[in-house]
Amino acid sequence: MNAILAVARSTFREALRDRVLVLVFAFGAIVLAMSRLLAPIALGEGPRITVDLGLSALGLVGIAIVVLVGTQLVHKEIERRTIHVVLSRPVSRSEYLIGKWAGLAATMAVAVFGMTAMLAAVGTSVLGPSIVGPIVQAAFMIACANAILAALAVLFSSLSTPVLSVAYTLGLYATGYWTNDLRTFARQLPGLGGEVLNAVSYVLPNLEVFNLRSQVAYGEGASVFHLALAMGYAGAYVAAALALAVVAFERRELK
Amino acid sequence: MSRGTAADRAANAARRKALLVFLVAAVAIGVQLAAVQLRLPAREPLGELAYYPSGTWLRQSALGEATAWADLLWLRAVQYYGEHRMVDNEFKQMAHVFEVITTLDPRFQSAYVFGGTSLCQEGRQFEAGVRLLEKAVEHNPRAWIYPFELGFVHYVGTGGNRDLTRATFEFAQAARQPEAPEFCSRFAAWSGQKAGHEGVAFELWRQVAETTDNAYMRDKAIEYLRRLVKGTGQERNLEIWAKSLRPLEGGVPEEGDAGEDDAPVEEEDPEAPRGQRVSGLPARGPTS
Repeated sequence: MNAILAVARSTFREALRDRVLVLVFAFGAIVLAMSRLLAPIALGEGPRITVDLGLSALGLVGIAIVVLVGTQLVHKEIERRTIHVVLSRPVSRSEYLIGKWAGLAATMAVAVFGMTAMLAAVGTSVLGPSIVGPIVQAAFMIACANAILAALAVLFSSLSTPVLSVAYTLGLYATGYWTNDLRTFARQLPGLGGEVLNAVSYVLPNLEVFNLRSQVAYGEGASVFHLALAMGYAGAYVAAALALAVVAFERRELK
Repeated sequence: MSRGTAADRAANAARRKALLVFLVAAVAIGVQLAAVQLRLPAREPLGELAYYPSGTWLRQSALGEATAWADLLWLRAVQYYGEHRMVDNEFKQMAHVFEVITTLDPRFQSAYVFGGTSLCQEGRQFEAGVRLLEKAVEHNPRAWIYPFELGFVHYVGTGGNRDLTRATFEFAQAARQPEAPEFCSRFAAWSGQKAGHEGVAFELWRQVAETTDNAYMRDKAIEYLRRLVKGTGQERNLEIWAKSLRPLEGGVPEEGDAGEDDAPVEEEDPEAPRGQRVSGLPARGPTS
């Protein structure tokens, strides 16, 4: 556990050194300011646009961190051979990978919740305090979805090159929003093809579960049951992805 | 030292010449481009809206950001409406754009209400406007506002589209929904009794002007109210009432002036604008 925390801390510190969070907060602040500037031409929809675009920016910032940092996390250390220094200490490969994921998830979470605080402040000023709850719920769900993508990024980073890892992670991010459509399509497809497609749709991460953006636009949140189920799903998916990454990484020969 | 200075001067002179040549060339190219631009047919304002793909396709491609895309398209749609309102009063792409917006976000009330009424009124696309409002009812069956708007467009319907039977049915449908304001059943009754058309139309437009958050909608409503009170001696009271409405975010570019803005404001009589036109209606207006 200590080893995991040590790796996570160093990953988090490295992200801070790379000024990832500064860039993220600057981007978030610009988007929030822009959404307020757009408000006067929105004909009464200014507050809604502020919250909607703010949440979208929040989601995109999380994805950007996962893709830009996460996909080269392990590969970079293998290339620089610094991984040998880490693994020569009492740190197992599994602890190393889980620590890397935890550090990446913490970086993403700090960015998302920092921006959530900004968005909640702006949202309160335009829609009143009742919007804070839905915004926090939606941000929490965004963080859960990004934690899954971070686990997948770590999995791909430990197996492949950064370019391919970016492609795979973004591919799963896109298909993650199409799982329900894939199931509908599978139902129309006769025979084995339909069954295979249906199975694939359950293996892919269902990111629509974490999407509360359209509800927040109307000041609505999700039920506790939905939140608990989504959290459980995220936890199970992260565990599965990291387990797969550990199995693959244990067998990998590091030159 | 002096040689260096001479070299510097020569270099500066060369730089100035190059800058001058560059400026002359830039001006010449600019003039040519302007000439070409003048010969080209005028571009339709925001004509790219015609190339927007269907909302269903966009929804799949939005990757969870459908409402944000609907918001951005709403901004374009408002711009489109504003530009065409000032240029040619032709709204060819409006039905398509509002269809896309409401497919991306099937609960976008402003898009349904503004799109539906604008298509039916100044867009002269009554069928498309009604289709949009019917889509709103389909996706939001418990919301009173959409059957009310359907009743509204059928009641004030222009170009032979007035249908009191349908209007009565829709107002009654609105009145049946939870949280429906009390005036829905009143409009249903008036519409059913075929009460004086201008009076009810006045109240409907007044309702819009008082309740909308959309500056264009309010402007449109006041414009219709001006037409309705023209020649009744109530024009000044209407302007006073219009000025007393709560301010809205954003504004509509001024196209004309009522001509009475600078007139001294008399004591306000909130009942006055509707008083004489609403014949056959109860003494109290439909809104409080």
